[in-house]
Amino acid sequence: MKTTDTLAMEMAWNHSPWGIVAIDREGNVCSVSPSFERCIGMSRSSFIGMSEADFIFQLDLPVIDHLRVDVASGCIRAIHYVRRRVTRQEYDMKQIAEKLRAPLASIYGFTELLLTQQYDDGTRSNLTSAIIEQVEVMAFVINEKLDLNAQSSSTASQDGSSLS
Amino acid sequence: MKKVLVVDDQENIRTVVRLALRDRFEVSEAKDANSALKSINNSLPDAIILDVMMSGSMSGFQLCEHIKQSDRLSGIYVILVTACGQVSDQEQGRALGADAYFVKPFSPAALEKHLHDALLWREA
Repeated sequence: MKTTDTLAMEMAWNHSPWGIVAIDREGNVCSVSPSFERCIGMSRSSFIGMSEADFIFQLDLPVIDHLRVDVASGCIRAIHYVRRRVTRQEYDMKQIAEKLRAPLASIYGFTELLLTQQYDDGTRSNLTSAIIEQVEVMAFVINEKLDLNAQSSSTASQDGSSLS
Repeated sequence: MKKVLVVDDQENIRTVVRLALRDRFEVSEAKDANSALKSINNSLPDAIILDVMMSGSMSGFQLCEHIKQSDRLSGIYVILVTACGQVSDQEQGRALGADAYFVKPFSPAALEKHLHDALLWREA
């Protein structure tokens, strides 16, 4: 008959909000909780027998919270706790937003300065050139990261050369 | 004139801020956290405008924390400027002691006004 503690352990193992992975003394994955599949969206069975290094390599770490706990005794060497922080798509979109904000800041800044301050012709020319450069940086990020095809990007460009 | 140090690894952003502030502030620039620390040791600024994500060994968050934990430097008014638009990033900045937080893209005029008002209020 199972004790209350054993039942509680089983419940925690099966329903944890974190995926739990045990590493044996030989350094291989020996047990994977059912919650792992739910938390990470990857099959449990494919990890059994995998080395600890390979297991960590498989994790998409930028989007996953990961904690490793050493175990001092017994047949288990370490326990890994993992859970998905954001989806890969959310992470990628955040990265793109950050890449676009930087050139946008230059464009906003230089444009506002040109509108509100008096500059000589040389400075105005330099600021305008910097704006065009930053527009090209934005176009590159959009084309590369948002995967627009060459045809649509050249259509968006005035002359089909500098921004495509 | 109040002294402002602009710390950003992007020259364009440093230029935008310098041009926006130069009429009312003495502006110096640093392209990373280590250069910023050298500059701060040479001449203590009244305010620092600090990019969060810089290349180099120390991020803007780390430099902000260093400044705010130092008895000598903690009085410097720190404005974090970042491409991270998420509320959690702003909360982290506040937790580290930043006095204000601007998300890129930002209005240089608004930044200049904020800095002017903040330093004026501190003097009063």
